[in-house]
Amino acid sequence: MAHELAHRILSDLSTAFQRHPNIDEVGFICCPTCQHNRSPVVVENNKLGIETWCLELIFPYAHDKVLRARGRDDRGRKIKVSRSARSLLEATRAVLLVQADCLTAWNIRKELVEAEDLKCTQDLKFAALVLTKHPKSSETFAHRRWLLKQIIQKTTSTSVQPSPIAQASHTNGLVAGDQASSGAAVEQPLNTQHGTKAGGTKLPCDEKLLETELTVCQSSAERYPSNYYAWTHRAWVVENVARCHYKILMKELCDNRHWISRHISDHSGLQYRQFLLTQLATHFRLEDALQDEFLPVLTAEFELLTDLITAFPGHEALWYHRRYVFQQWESVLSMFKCPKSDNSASSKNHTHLQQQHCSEVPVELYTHSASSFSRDRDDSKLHAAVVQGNKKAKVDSTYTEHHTIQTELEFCRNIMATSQDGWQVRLAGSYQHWLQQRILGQDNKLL
Amino acid sequence: MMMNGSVRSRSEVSEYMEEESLICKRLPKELILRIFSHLDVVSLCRCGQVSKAWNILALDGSNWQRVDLFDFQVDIESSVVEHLSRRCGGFLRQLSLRGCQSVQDRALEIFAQNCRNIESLCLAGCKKITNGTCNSLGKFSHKLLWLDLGSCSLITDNALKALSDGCPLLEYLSIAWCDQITENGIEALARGCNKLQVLIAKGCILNITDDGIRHISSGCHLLESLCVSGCTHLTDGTLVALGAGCYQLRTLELAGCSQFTDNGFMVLARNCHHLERMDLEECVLITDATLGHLAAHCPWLSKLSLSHCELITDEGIRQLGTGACAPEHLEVLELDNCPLITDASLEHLMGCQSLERIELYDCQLITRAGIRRLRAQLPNIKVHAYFAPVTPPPSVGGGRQRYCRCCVIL
Repeated sequence: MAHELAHRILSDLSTAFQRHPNIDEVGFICCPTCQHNRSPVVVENNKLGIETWCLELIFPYAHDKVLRARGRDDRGRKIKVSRSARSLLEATRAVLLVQADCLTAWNIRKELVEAEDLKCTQDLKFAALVLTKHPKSSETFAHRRWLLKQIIQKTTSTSVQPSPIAQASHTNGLVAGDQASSGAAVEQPLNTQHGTKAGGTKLPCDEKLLETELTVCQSSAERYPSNYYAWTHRAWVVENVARCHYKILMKELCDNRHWISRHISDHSGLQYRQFLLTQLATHFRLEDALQDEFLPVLTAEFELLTDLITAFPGHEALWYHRRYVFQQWESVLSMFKCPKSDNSASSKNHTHLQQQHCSEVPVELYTHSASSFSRDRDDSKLHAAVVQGNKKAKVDSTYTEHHTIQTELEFCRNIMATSQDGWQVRLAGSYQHWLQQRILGQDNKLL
Repeated sequence: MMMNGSVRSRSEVSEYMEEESLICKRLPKELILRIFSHLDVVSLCRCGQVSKAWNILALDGSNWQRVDLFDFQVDIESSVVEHLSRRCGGFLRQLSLRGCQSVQDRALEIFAQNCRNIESLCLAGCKKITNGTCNSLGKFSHKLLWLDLGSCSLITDNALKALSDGCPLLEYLSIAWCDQITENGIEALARGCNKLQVLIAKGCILNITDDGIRHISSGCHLLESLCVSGCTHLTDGTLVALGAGCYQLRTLELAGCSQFTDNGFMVLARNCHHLERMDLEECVLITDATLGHLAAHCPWLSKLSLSHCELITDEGIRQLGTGACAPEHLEVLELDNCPLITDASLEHLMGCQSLERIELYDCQLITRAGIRRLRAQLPNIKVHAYFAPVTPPPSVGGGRQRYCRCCVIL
């Protein structure tokens, strides 16, 4: 009896999806008992609602079907999925709407895609639907990645252009579970002809696909605060679908700026921002445009952070992001500062300066020596040390004096002096401590 | 056979093995053959690898009269079919290649040549098959009675023509989802296969028309079962044609043929008195009048589906309930998604002693009380509705409570 009812409700679901192919959101209607002889499946304005009384009927029924499909028949052979494609589609759909992390059900759907009983685009749509109800489902995102890989494989095997290989990034280790799935990555030769800003090559992927994917990530991130999986997925998409194309990176940076202004404490959102900046750094380094392009980006980043930190006191995420940005800043500048050859004279001077930093040197002197390091071009000895071994000798002075450890320390002092929020003061203090550790660390390296 | 787990000494073991082989020799060949005839393909092949004697017996043609390769599906390649056909030769009577998507025309041509006594052939889901296969069947398989070509969408009218010419004994034919078939093919079929009893043509959405059915009606007077579900272009002309020629009709599946009206069913019912099973799901234009005609003329009606027939009301059910079929034959009645049905209909059906199942999903005027009363009258009935009580799993204690008929607790 229960079976027939469950079967009927599943076929109601199928009919709903057939009649309304553009269902984009699903929710459960709280309805503990069945009051009327009416289907629990309701569709209004492309939103799907399922009354909760039926869940305890359909879920065991559908789940049982899913598990049996994975069983082995009497002779110990694996039961082929395509034998009952339609009923398996129904069952997996029901299971996943309730429990999005059922990997068995997703794997059955993968097999149906491979057997061409189910289209990639249809399944992407369904996965997006599941995410509206379960925005933090890691298995759903993993399944999306598998589908995207399938689509990319299909399109790259037909297209002629080679596209740049995906750079190794911090998402590799974090996106666990992908290593297990098959889907061989197509190895492509590194394309040295990156699109320059002026050139603007065609995007190496389907724009619509990319846009859909980013929208899905966005809505998932909105539904659940600090949604680690959504942001990591977004980073994966930028890396593997958009191939870290410069335009996409810049656009994402811009969009993300709006996001973090509205979601201040979203650690994952800021982590994504760091990913974008790392990718941009790599891109610009290859183009030799670090100074012209990247440093302004970082400067803007500093400004943004300063605004947000002062406007919204007491958010740890921002302070940590600032650490990252500062590190990037220093590493870029160090590429120009550090001489390549081992000139003992310069290193001695360098050490001398560092030792000065260590002691309680008055601020003014600190400033003077820092600026003289770059600005005083007539001081040939010091300058020679900088120039030596480096083609691009001149570092624009406007940059080097904008953000140094000293300025950052000053920033901390300002915050600690003006802020009334105790927690903010603590955060500023720990940032200050971190900066001081850096100074010590640099000294230790040289000594 | 004689396996027990006890440990034996070496001499005992060899004696034991001798005994076993003696038994093997003692068992007459005919008995071994008889045993083998119950085995499936895989087991037969395994037995054929046991010993020389068993090899000969296992591969004896008489064991290969019915072969079902459904479980292997895509693993079955053309070569397998070819080997099989050579091995079985004239013994093979029944072969199922359902779902074996890799099989192609060439293999089936060899098969047809080798296995001329084939009576039943299932090629459903063999998507690569074309007219060539049907040409081969028409040339060699004159004893063919049963043929399933479902989902073989490359088939066209010429295939039906070939079958019509070469397989006059054909009784069962399925061309489900073969959407290239038009009325020309059907005409050819009707001309040659006059013994046709079952025709399944569901899903041939675009091309099956009233004319095609007219040809069937004029040629296939023995037709008992017709399925044209999903063929939305059919109109009342079809029903009139069926009433003119196919008096033996027992099963009629017309789901989704939304153009049929009461007039067509009036003609049909008046002529086809043997109708037993009718699927009228989504025939949205029919009203209580159709039920009146069916009640009056079809006393053998046992299964009737009226899902989504939104114009049906209690009056139609009343006529049905008082019709000739009601007291003894009506077994299944599907009224789901008929919004006008109320508890009154359930009252009208209380006289149907054989009623096993009634579907009332989405009939929002039906109440729990109405269902309760019906179950009181017909204790064996299964009532399917959304709020129908779900029977709890059998209790461990064997059930403590007992109910008398007037105190049925829902």
